[in-house]
Amino acid sequence: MSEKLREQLSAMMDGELDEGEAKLLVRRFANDPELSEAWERYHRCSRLLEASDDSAERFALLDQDFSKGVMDAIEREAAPAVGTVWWQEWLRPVAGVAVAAGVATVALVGLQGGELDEGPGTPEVVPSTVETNPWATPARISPAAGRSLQLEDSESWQRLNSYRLNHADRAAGLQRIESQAADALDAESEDRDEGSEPQ
Amino acid sequence: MKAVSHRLMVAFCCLAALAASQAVQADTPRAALERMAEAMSELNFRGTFVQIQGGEVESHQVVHRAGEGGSSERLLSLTGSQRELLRQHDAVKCIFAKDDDGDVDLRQAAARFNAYLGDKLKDLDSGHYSLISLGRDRVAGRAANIIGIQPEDELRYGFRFWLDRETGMPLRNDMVSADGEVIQQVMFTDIMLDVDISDEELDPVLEKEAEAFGTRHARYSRKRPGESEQDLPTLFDALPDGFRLVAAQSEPRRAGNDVILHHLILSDGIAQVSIFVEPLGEERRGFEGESRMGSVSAHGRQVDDHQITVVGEVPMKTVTAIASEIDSLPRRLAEKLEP
Repeated sequence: MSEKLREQLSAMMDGELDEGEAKLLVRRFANDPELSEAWERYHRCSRLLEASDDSAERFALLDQDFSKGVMDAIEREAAPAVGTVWWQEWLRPVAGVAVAAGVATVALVGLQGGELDEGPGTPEVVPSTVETNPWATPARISPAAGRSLQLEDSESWQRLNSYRLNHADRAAGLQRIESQAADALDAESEDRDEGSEPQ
Repeated sequence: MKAVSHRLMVAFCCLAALAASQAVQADTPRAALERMAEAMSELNFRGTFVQIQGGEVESHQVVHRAGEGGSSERLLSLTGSQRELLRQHDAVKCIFAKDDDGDVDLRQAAARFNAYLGDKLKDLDSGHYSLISLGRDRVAGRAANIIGIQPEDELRYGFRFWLDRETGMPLRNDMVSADGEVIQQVMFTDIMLDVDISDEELDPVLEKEAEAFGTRHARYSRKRPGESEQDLPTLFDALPDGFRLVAAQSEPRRAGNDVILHHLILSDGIAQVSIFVEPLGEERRGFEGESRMGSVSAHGRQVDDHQITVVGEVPMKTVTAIASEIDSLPRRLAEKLEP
């Protein structure tokens, strides 16, 4: 199977293939048993990954040697087909965190994948499905924890946020001087700072 | 001779440390908590802490230097967008990446550990919380005593403090609901206490002059508003058990703005709830309903052309109960506060 085809298959798994291309690919399934077989394999992996929502603790159980063994297996399997380590190519645009998480996920499939024990030493590994696993994407990390708030307009959001900050200050026993006055105060003190610099 | 004196010194240090730790151990929960705020403001420290709430994790690096003229602090976000907060006594400067369009939260690091709650215990006479000792643990590699402020009902959150046994410094703080749900956690993952902090360590890391960054300034005051409790008007017929009006102030919403924002503060001794009341002009839209922002619950209502918003680090049912008692608030405010 060509690398292009493999990529198209991955994209279809992720729903990222446009409609025309997808139709074309499905039509090819009928004539290409290898292709439809690969599609089935991909799906099986995907189901496994989706079933492993509680995989966080299991990640912790995997030792590095095991991960490395799986990685080696991937390389062995992939190398003859493409000549380069194709999955690394595929993963290149993904952030480092996702790659690392992908490694853990890959290892997980190898560990949990009873279904996949079809051939010794060659676990089925489909990096394209990594993104369907919530654990494989970086955790939601946001500077503003309140952003999940759904307000119709930004004015309401800003007002509510200013209330929240105002409240937080007061709860901590502080009172914020009005921002304009604070800017003026700060500008004054900066002027002083600049004036007092020896240079 | 040198070796002997050295050994003596080590022995002395050990004894001193032992005495200090025993002193803390002997503290009642109340005394330990009262020492907490003091420790946080009077110690030099540098460290990293994480904050977890609503399934989100943030991490900050903090450097704090105590001084006679007030403390200085530098706080750098290690997660999400780049933000840095520099505080000298009550003046705060925040440098933030311009791609972060959100308002910058200028709260001080100390506030995140709720260490200020220790000061409030002096006034705590209500039967709505109990202070309990919860044993020992280790945080950031240091021995800690755990002290709890346990809520007696579901209208308020409680706290668990992990206090450094040597210094009283809060190393970890959990905000917990009455039924044990953890609302927010803040914890040092590493900390160095009683260290020398150089001026350079308090200088900004982010390049504030760079185009990608903006700065914000603010100055804080620790003064309480002038009204004494006796002067506070009667504005509510009923409030959730234990809560009462402790302060009220009215000021322009922004400098130079003629929209007056009334800010009423309710407290049960520990928890604090703000009620913001402002008139809605014809062109301004209000909002109705509940929302949750991290550990903060909010309930907004529009009453008599006023937007009334109840905000607090309390359960949603508490702000909702308060919001249900405010139908006559704009009218009463107009009668009592305006000449």
